[in-house]
Amino acid sequence: MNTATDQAPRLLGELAALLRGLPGSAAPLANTLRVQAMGHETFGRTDALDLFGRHPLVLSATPHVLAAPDALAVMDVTPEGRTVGVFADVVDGVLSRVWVAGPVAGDAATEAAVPVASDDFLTQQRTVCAGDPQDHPRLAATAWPQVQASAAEALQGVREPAAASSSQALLVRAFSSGDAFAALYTLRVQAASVPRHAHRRWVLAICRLGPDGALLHRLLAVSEPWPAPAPVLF
Amino acid sequence: MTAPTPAPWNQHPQVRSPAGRTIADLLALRSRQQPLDGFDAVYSDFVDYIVRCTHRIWEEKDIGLCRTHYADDVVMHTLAGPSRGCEAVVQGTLGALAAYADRQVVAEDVIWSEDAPGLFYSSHRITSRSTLEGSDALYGAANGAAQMATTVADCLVRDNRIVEEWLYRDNARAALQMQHAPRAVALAQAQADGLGDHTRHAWRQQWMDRVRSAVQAWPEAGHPAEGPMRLLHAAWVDNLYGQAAAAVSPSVEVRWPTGRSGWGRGYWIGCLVQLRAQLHDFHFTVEHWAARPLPNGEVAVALRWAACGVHASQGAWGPASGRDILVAGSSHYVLRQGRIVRDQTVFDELAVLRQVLGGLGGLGPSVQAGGGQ
Repeated sequence: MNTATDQAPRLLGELAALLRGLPGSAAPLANTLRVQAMGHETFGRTDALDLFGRHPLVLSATPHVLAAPDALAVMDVTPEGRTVGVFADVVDGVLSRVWVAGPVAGDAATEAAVPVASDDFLTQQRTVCAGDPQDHPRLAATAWPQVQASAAEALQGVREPAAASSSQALLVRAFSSGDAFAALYTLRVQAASVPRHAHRRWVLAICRLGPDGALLHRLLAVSEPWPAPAPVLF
Repeated sequence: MTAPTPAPWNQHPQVRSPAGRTIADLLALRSRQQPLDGFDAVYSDFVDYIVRCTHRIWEEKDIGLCRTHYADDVVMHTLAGPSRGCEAVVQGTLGALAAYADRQVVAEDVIWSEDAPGLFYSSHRITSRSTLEGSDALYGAANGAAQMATTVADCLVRDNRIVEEWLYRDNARAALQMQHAPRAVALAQAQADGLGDHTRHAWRQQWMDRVRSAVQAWPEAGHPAEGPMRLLHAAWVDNLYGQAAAAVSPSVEVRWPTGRSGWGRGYWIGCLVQLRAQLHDFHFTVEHWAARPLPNGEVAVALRWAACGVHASQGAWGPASGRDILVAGSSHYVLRQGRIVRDQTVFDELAVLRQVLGGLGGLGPSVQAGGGQ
C-alpha cells in the first residue's frame, strides 16, 4: 500500500478548499497551520482561511501533483496563464504548513523586523543553492544534481537586475516520488545597485528524471518579489 | 541519598506533541494515556494537561481554575521580574482577558520531561492571537489592534499544580503590533522602575550572579539536547560561530524575537552575533533542557537559558549604556537526522531595552538623561 498515493486525492481536495478560503471549511487543518502565500504569512487555521477568503486561489481540474507521506506538491496554471506552485507539509494526514509560489497580493505586508546582518555564503566560494541532501531523507540521491540545477534556473530567471554573485537559493523542502521530485526553495535576491536592497521569493520545482538522472521535464513556479520588512530600529 | 534518575527523554511515545494536530483532535477527551498521579481525571497525559488547562483558563474563561492548577506560593519568573502566589496569577489573567477577551492560545508545541518521579517539566510554545477591545494598562484603550506574539511558558508541575514558571514573551513584537514604539514603552517602564523601593529589583542582580557563577551541567549521553547546547556554547562562549553552524542545517529556519525571521546558517549566525556583540564580559548558561519526539521522525528540543554581560557596544539596542544586562529566554529547536532545521528563540526584548534604559534596578544614565535617542 502506498500511503502517499492513497491520501493524495483527499489532501488535494482539502488543499483546494483551503486555497479557495471556503468559510467553515471542514478540512482537517492543523491548528498551528502556517501559510506563506500572496506576500502574507499567517499563523493558525482561522487566519489562513481569512487570507484565502480575501485572495482565493482556484486550482484547475487537472493540476500536476506529486505526493509523499509527509508532503504534497502541486503545480498549476491559472486562467490568466500564470504558473503557480503550492507546497504543503503533511503531518499524520493533516495539512500543517503551506507555501504558494505565485502572485503577491496588493495588500501584501511583511511584519516589521529588527534587521540582522548576515553572510549567506560564509565563503568566497559561493554556491547557487544552499542545502544538503541529508536534510531531505525522501529525496533520491540521483535527484540532487537537478535539485541544484533547478535552483540555478530559478535564479537565472529573476536575476536581472539583481547582483549575480550575491543572490542565493536555499532548499527548504524536497522529496522524490517515482522518477520525479519536488523541491521548494526560498530565494534571497540582492540588487546590484547601491543601496543593495534584497528581496525574497519562493520557488517550486517539479522535475521528471530519466533512469540516468538526466532531466526529462521541469516545471518551475516563481513567486513575485515579497515585500521587505520595515526595519525596527530601537 | 542519590538524586532520582530522570526518565528517558523519549518515554511514553503515545503522548503526542500538539504539532500538526487539529483543534478537534487536541480537545477530544481521552482516557489516561500515561501515569499522572495527583492530576485531575480530565487530563489524559501531560501534554493534554498543559494544552487543556490553558484552553480552559484562557479560552473557556474559567480563570478560577488557576487555583487548582497553580501552587499557592507559585513563583512566576519573567525578564521584567517575578510575581508570587496563585492570586497574582488569577488577577493577571483577569486583567489580560478584560483587555483581550478573544485571545486564542494556539499550542505550537509542548516539549516536556519527567525530571523526577511525579515532577514534570513543560516548555510550552504558544502563539496567541488577540484583539485590544478593552483597556490595557500599557497600550491604552480599545483600538482594535491585533497581537500575534509568541510566548514560551516553562512550568514545573507536581500533582496538577504549577509550582514554578518561567514566562518568556516576545513583547517588543507585541508593542509594534499595538502600534507603539518599543523604546518609548521601555523608557516609560524604566522611569517607573526608578521610583519607590529599589530592593524590589534585587532579583535581577541575583539572577546575573547565578549566571556568572554557573557551572554548566550537561545532559546524559545520547540526549538530543546535548548537540544544541554545545552549539550555543561554541557560538556564544567560544565565539566559534562557523564551527557551531556547521552542525546546523544549511537550510535552517530561524525565528527570533521582534520579527527576526530568516533562513540559512548565515542568518542563524547573524542573530547570535547581534546579541553577543553588544554585551562584553559575556556569561551564558543553559538552565534546563528537554526533548520529545515529533511527527515525521523529527525531534523537538527545548533549552531554557540565561545570559548576561555589560552593554558596552552600540548595536540593535542603541548606544552602549554601560549597564549590566540580563537576557533570559527559551530556544525551541527541531532536529532532523540529528541536525537543527528550525530555531525558534523567544526572549523579552522589551525588558532588555528597559534594562538598557536604566530600568529594573537602579537609575541608569539613560533614564537620568531622558532616555537617549
